[in-house]
Amino acid sequence: MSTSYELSPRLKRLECRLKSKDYKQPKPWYFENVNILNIPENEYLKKESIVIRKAYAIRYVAEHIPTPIYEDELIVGVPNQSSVEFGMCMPRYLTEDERDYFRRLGLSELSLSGHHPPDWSRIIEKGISGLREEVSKQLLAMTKVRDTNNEAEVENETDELRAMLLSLDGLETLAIRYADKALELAVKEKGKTRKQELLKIYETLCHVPDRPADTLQEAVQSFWITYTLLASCGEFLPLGRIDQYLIKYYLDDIHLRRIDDEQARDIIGSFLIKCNERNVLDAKKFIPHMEYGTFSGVIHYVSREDTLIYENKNREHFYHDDEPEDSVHNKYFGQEANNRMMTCVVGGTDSNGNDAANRLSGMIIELISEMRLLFPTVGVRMSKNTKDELLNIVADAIRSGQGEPVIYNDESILKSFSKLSITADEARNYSSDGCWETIIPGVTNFSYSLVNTLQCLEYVFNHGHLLKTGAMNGLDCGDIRNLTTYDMFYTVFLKELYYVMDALWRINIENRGISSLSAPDPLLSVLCDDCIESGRDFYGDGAKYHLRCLLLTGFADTVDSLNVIKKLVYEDRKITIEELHGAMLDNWKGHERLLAYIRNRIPKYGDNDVTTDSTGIRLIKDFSSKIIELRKRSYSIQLTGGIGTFHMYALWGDTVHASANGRQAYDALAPNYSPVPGNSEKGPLAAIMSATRADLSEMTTGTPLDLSVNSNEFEEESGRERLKDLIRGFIDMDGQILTITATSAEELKEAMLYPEKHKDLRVRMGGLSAYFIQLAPAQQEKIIERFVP
Amino acid sequence: MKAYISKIQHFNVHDGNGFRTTVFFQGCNLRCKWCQNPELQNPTPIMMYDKALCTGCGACMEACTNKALEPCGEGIYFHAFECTLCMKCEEQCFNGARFFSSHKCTLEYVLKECLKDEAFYVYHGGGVTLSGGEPLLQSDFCFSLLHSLKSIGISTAVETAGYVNYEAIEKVIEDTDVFYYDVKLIDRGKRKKYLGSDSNLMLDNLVKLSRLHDRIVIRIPLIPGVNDSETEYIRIMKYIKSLGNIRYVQIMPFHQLGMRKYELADINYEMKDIDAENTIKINKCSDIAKSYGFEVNIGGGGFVYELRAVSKVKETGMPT
Repeated sequence: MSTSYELSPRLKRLECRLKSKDYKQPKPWYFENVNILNIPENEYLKKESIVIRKAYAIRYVAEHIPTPIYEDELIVGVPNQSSVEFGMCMPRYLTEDERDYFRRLGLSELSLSGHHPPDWSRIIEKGISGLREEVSKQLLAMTKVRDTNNEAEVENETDELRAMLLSLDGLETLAIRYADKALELAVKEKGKTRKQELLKIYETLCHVPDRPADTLQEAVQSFWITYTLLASCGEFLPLGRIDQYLIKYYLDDIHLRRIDDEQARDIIGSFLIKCNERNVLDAKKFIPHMEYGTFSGVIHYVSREDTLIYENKNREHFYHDDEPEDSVHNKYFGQEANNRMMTCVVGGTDSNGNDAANRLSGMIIELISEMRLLFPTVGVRMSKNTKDELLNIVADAIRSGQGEPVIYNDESILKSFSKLSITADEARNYSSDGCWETIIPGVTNFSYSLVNTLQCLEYVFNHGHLLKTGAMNGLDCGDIRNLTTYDMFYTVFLKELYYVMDALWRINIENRGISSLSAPDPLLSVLCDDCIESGRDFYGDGAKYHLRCLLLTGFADTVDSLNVIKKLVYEDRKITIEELHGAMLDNWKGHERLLAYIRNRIPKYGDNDVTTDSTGIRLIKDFSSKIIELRKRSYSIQLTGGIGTFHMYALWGDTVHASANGRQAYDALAPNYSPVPGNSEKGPLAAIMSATRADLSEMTTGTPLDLSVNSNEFEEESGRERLKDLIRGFIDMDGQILTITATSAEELKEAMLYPEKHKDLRVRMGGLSAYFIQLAPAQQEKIIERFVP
Repeated sequence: MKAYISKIQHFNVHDGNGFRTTVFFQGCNLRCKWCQNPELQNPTPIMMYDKALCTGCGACMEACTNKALEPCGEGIYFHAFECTLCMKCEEQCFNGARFFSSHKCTLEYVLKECLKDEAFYVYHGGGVTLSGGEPLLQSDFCFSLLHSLKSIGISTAVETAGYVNYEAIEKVIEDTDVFYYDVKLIDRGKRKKYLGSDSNLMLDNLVKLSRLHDRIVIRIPLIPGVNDSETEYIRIMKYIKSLGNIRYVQIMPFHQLGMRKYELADINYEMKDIDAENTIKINKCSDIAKSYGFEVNIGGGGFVYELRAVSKVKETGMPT
């Protein structure tokens, strides 16, 4: 039985400071115009390889970043400012010539893709000293085989290993600087308790991350100081399975009575607060630092033309006062202002498949929920064996209107991992990447491409053209009037779909590892398996597995559209395909009766209707078989599937004209694997039933179903039990990933009117959680639509 | 076998344990002034019209087979007496502006809908609740439906005001896990005034039922100025206590969420200006009920009685 804890006075003070001060202040961006090569004494570095220079850049950060320690906190370390939307700053290390060269590839020093949780337990358990030993051993081994190997390759590898050591030195430096700071403050401090705490921080940082951690505080500090340095050098990293990394230190401490549960909560709570200090709620206060090349490790660029498009896109990261609120720029502005891919996952199994959920799993969920923090976005791995104790905590957190934790169904996800060549015990260690995708910490280099199926449908109607830009992105499969049966229509649709999938697959293979040329990361590599043994960078060939995902985007809208076409045109023959096309081109103007019929009379995905759902089942099956085919054809990557939009459903809908399901031109897509908002009058259970009919076993990356439920339906003890039933039902039905936002349309509407009263209201946005009042009005309305009237 | 069913609502959390699928029946012989489903009082379906959704396209008029819909000024006038319930107008109104309060549904259809959420019934005895209107007015259908559900292990509940022949109640006793029985008023004069009937049938039926069935939850709609005075409320309590085997009392505070239905169904609503029941009174009534030894829940969301072990039915095999 879970009891609700009072937050300790310390955590209350920390939370208060966070929300009243940190959230309101714009933060400094360090190292904006620094290039380490421009420092006179660094002239010699120009002769070194790029990875070595990167290591020196890391060291530069460690030596120069300010080391503030705030009141009341037990865990220290403040990373440089950054965000997915507004970019990042780090010392540059390329020469002008190199920059020009990489620019043509769309790359720069900033082309780090983040997304991958390293194996954080390596730094916690081994410490810098342990890792140094491993690297040195490998360096020695390499000298021995030097003669027999290709000279150039050996140099690359030894450089990578050298860079790993250099960046570990940097990490040590940063820890020492923080230790010095703590000592300095301790001497000045008047209060006895705080003096002791500061001395404790000093001691902790003298010990870790240099050596293996012994206590909970050391483990957490070792973890966070390492994160601090990585994040300050441009990485957007998930936190992985934090409860698993920390539990043994917690148990030791409790067992030896070094600390009690309350003190453990203070340590974990202080750490969770640190994860949020860089947030600024008013996105207009952010200073954009988006430059070409940022993130291009994720987004695959093929030609120079694309690079130019990307540079123009930068404009979108400014708020345009001269444009109306709902202009393309302003509508989506600020959506990812605070997104740093900081997710974590608790619960799940150990490598033998035993339930590994522990005291910390629940504690982390409780603390995030009680302090209403934005980060880390927390997920929980569950199964039929999940204990009631954890389930209660999960249900309470969801009920309190957090939109979190995200629920991962172990059984279903592990089944899909078994389709890849990844060992079962590694798969059991899966966690989340920066959003919700499943990924295994420390071993997987991961990236994805979007397959917008609704665009594919548009190609069928318009000879392969995308109406918005007029560009010919698909295939010209002839006149739609020739498609006399639904099967013919569907075949052409598949042809378009496969054409896009083929193209994306090719780009994924061609661009694999390309970002490591300009933006290697030796510090990240040292925390990942196999990189030391191979002497390769994590972003290059170093990672053990290279997963690439084709993500089916626009699922619900596509399935509904296909159903409308099937029923209206080919089965009931109410109108011809040409007439339907005409109505879509008119964006339904003058076709109101047809639109009403489509919206209200044709069953949709999410209605729990077997016939309707069979269309979706077929789409997933055909998508999966193409994934399997492409996977068999690739050697350097393992291709997986998934269904999702992240929180970008509005942005990606903005590329597609009106669709056959009655969707207006350029309207948002339905989020992730969820039914179209407003359609699902049959309620959440029907949505779950619809979503669990298809075989999702090739969708390894995940298929999150986002549900919105009214919080007033889950009040009291019985409400909690019902919510647990809902979660258990989802797991029983073999669903994969589930998010539940419990609030009400009334509450949201009121929050639009009186934002100041609803500062803490968080909503789930597909990939992350956001404070509702921070969103643009257009987005707020979309979220309200999700609620059944 | 068919019955007039208004709707089959999934994911209900206020009509019994777990998640309920609630089947609303058409027809009720009471005329409670505060009724929240007034469109279900008539024994047969009635026409509903949502002006906000109407585009004035006139498709309903064209579809009408008996000229029951006629142009009148800028709108369309509905002659209720001419309507043959052919429902062609509803069929043509794609916007859902014109529709009927209920439809004739087969037992097979209702069963199929009820079983759709079966996967979620397992843990806390979720299941099916019959409500209305007064479901027991169509007791043969109720019996067949409940019996089919029970035979595959699904929990059943019936919400009734008991204003039916006792035989109708008797028929479903065996297949009903829990009865939600409305007790509205004891005062005979007030009953005449507010319920449209001063018959003792409801109270007598409850006495009879309580001798044969041990899982009855009493629901008291708490209506401002009608039964929330201390004297009347205590009379209700004493009456329930006298039944001997009642454990749960649920207080259903008056609210105005059903007001729109009066507009849609074009029925005069007398309690328009009454405010929702206030919390202080609700809590007081709750305390009084507790002092009589009942377990009290407000709003009907609470679980009642210990959970019966529900066997999970694997395949949703339709009982024949």
